[in-house]
Amino acid sequence: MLESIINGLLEALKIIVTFNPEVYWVLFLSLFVSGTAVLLSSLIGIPVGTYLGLRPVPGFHFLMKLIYTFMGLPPVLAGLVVYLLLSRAGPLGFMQILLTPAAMIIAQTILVLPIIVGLTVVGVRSKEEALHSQIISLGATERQAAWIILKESRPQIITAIVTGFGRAIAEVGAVIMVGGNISGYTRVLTTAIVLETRRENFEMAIALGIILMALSFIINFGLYKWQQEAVEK
Amino acid sequence: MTQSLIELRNVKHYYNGRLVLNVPYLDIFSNKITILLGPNASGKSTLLRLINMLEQPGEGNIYFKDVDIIRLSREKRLELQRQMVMVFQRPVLLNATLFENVAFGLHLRGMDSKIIEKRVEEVLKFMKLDHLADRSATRLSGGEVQLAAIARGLAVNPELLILDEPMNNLDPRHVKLLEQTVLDISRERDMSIIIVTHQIPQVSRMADEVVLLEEGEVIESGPAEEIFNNPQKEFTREFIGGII
Amino acid sequence: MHLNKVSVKFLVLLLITSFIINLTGCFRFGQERLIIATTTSTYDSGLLDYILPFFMEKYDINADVVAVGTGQALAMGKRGDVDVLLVHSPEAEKEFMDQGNGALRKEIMYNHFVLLGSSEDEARVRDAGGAAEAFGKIAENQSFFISREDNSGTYLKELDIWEKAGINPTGEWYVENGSGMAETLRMAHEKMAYTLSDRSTFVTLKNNLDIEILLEKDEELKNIYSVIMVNPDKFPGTNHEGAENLIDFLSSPKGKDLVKNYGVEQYGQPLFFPID
Repeated sequence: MLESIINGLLEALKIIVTFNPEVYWVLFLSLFVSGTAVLLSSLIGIPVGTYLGLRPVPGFHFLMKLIYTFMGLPPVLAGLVVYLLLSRAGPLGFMQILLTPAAMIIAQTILVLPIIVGLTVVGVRSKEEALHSQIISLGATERQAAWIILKESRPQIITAIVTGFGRAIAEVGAVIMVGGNISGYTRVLTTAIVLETRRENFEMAIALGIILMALSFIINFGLYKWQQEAVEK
Repeated sequence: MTQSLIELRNVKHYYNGRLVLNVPYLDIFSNKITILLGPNASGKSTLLRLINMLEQPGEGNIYFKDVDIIRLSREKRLELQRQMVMVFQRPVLLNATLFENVAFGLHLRGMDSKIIEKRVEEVLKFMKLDHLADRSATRLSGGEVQLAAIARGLAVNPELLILDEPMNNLDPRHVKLLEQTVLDISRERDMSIIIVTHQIPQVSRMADEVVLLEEGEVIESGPAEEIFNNPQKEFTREFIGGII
Repeated sequence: MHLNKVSVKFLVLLLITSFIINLTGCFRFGQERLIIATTTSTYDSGLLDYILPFFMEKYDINADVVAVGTGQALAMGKRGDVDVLLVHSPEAEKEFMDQGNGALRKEIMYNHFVLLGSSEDEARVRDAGGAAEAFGKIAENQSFFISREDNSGTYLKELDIWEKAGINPTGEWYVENGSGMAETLRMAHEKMAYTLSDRSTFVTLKNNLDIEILLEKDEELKNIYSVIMVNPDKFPGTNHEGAENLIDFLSSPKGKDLVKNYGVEQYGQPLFFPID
């Protein structure tokens, strides 16, 4: 077993160094799909989460329970729902985006959005509780206070993004269902691992897994640095 | 003549249906150092929050410089809010340098950055914190954070400065420094100061006026000398007793 | 004001993102697309990777292959999510056509399933006259038999043969695996068991396996591959022209040549035989 892992590691290095075009495309697509999903989720989720974190909203606790539940939405389920929606037999079939990267982005956004909203709410709310009175006492308007609290919540919001990205890049259930694992078009690292495993090419599968982890590490390296900057000003 | 800065009339306040503050009549006077005393959970923090306009009393009226602070337009409320500052028991600084934190209140008021710079430098020097100006707030000790919060409040030059147990995290050196600072401020500027503290010896050194709370009610209030030398209530005697 | 600058940046980012998404609906800038659903065993044989580039060049089209189980491929055809099917389960295909899901079906090529087992062959399958008889011997002897137990063509064929033999396979000797062909073969190899496999998968993996072919050229083991054009009238957007082109191509001399030649160089034998 250890032999497989070591061979997998060597295979991974070989792939990287020889610029195997198929794998590089898979790598790029993984980043592209998950990255776009996180970006979209952030653009929607951070404002929504901030609003929920700052304002007393009726039914807040129920909403949070709902959000927490959806944070754990099984990717296959999300994939299935999106598939049925985008299917030519389904309501949005005319858009013809099933079995394309666009469908994969949509499915992953559904998975990532609750995470970003939920963690943003938690982060903003805790800052709000700590800071709000003190800032108002110093003479801030509600709008100024909201803005400051948002800025102070930056580390927590970055955590939300990190968590969301981790979820997206690692999942396979949603993208394989709505994307179809089409070679050179909708194949990403996780679905490629599924393929190689099915064919019993374990070394290749492990190599792809190592590449996936390395990619994840590099991205999180950057995100972590960004977070540290926000903390230590 | 001693002028009333703050007047409470028939004020009652409730938390979860429970009556936590019952003050039929209380005056806080301008340009005086008023010390607010009382055992834990006697309603001191509640009283401060009401005075600082962070909450509105369930019943009654509160006046700041003869203005009813309860029914106010947003602008008028902001105007009054910016004339008073509370330094909280557990102050929270922003993720920034000490300098930026102290400048914060001034930025809120939209002041010119040159003026801000001057004012902050002044305050930091006054509080003997200038050597820490560029230090990140996350790297300040507990005592330094406390002093920084006080500097932050001072910087906006309020008419009313409220200090909620400011001595908590301070070592004796700093306590002495703070006491001196408070006395200097009171003398040099037109600032009214309300301090909540448990340290009775300090009270005797600093107080102009004393208000003693117990279970949400004012047991006794008046000039410090009278309270110390001639306490009217048994409770007061017991509470203060033994120091003078 | 302060907030406005941020709102503008936000909107711009949102716009760029939606533009990106639209782009990825293509990543292809308007080229024609043919979506083919096939089975995992067909796909893993590598035949399509070999043939399709010729097809794509000739017709200037993108041929996208989705490899899933037979059942799922037919389901996708039913929903019109793919344009054409390449599958090998004649009975299921018949039902598919009867329900009006396909506009055209053409049998394109065939190979054989093979009955595999250890060289010891404790059930004496080699002596059997046909697949059904062989299955009967295995059941009688209660020798280990690995079944795929999914919706694959191989499994459907296996069920077929059990039915012909009049046997309902149950018991500890009948191991239901529920996984892909390669893993099933590995399991058979490890347990020295019998199993049914499509020829191409076995040929590509046989160097690593200790089991061998005990029964092949039986009519009952014939595995017929058909191309089915999904009915374009059912759902909008199906590329029936592209599907037609694929059928034409596979039926053409060039197409048949490619099918005949595939695998010869690598494995010393063809994996598929075109039907004339």
